[in-house]
Amino acid sequence: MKFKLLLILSFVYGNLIAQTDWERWDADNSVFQLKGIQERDYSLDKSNVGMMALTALRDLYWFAFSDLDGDNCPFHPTCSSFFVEAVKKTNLLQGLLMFADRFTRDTNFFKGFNHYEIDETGKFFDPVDNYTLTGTYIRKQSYHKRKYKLK
Amino acid sequence: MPIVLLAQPAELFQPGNRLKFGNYLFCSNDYLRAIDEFQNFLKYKKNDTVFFKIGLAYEKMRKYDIAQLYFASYPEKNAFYPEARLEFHKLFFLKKEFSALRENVARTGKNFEYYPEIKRLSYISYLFDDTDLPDSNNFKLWFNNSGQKKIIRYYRIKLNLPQKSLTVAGMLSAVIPGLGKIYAGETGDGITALIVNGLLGFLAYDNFRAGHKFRGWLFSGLTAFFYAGNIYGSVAAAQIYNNKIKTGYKQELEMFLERENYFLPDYKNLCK
Repeated sequence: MKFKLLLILSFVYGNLIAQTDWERWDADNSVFQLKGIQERDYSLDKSNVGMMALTALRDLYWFAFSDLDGDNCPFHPTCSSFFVEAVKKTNLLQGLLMFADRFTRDTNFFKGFNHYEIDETGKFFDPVDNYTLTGTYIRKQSYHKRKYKLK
Repeated sequence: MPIVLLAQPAELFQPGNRLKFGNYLFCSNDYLRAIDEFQNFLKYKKNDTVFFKIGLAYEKMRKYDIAQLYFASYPEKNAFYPEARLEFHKLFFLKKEFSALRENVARTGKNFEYYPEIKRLSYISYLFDDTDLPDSNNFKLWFNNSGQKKIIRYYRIKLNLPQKSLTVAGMLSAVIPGLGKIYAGETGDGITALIVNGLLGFLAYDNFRAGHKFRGWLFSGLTAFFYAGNIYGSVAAAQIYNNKIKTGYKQELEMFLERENYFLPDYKNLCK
């Protein structure tokens, strides 16, 4: 009887102190993702109703998908930020066209091949201003001429 | 007694010493501190050379507006007036205010000591902005033989800068999605655009054929969205291509002019 009780107690004790897979033990809560140079700003743009709706949609996308998916966009700014910024700097139609183009460029498997300048965090530097068709051209200072060297 | 022996002598901050130290700093390219010493010196004694050096120090520090104020303040009878006027014009060039430079050069009389120099600057400025280039013979006139060859090379490059037409890029992409991108030098993006548009178009067609109207319209909308985006992107790609070429050209020209000291006399004797 005593032996049975001891056996049951040992099982209970074992269960009580057992390592569980739903709780972390003493491990450090490390995050191995590269820290983006731009912290996510969830604030709404209150300049007009349209921008407010758009930033709300972006925030919803960030909350429901992007933040869970992780820092996967290869561009800086990210495609969602690019779209919002494009609409803000131009208009909804032009912003949509710019976004469609960016999305297509994002699906290009060879986009890293001597094409974009590299950002501090290793992302492709692709600012909105270069696509607004106003003739503005922004480049990173560290950029070296490779492809477009004069003959 | 030791305090008295170790004490800093009072004459250390005398104007003469400040000037010497300022000159030393100026020649060591420590312009900010040199300006400070020079300005302290000028509180005691008026000196045109020191005043000129302050202007030059600001110019070297790329504080062009302040430097220009210094050079503009020289009266016509001053011995430094020609050099100050030359620097005044050069600063328009460095500030990239090319039309202002050309206007000022046009107002300057031909008997000005550095007229050829400022005229050269004025001609070089045409290589930077988007105004029409003057005739190459007029251009050559102001440069010596070795300078002529070098500057005419940039003149010819500017005349024949490889530029892509935005209209052609847009039209090509309207005919075959992605072709405008390939024309603008973005082959990978062009092929991707063709695949994306082709795939979405096929899905739209296939769903209509199978009687799935909703999916058919959905893919049709997506095809139209990416098709229009690609036309826009091709125009943007052509513009980016042109800008990259122009920026590369200007950077190379700037480096060349810096090496040649803008075909201007330098003031090495200020640091002898």
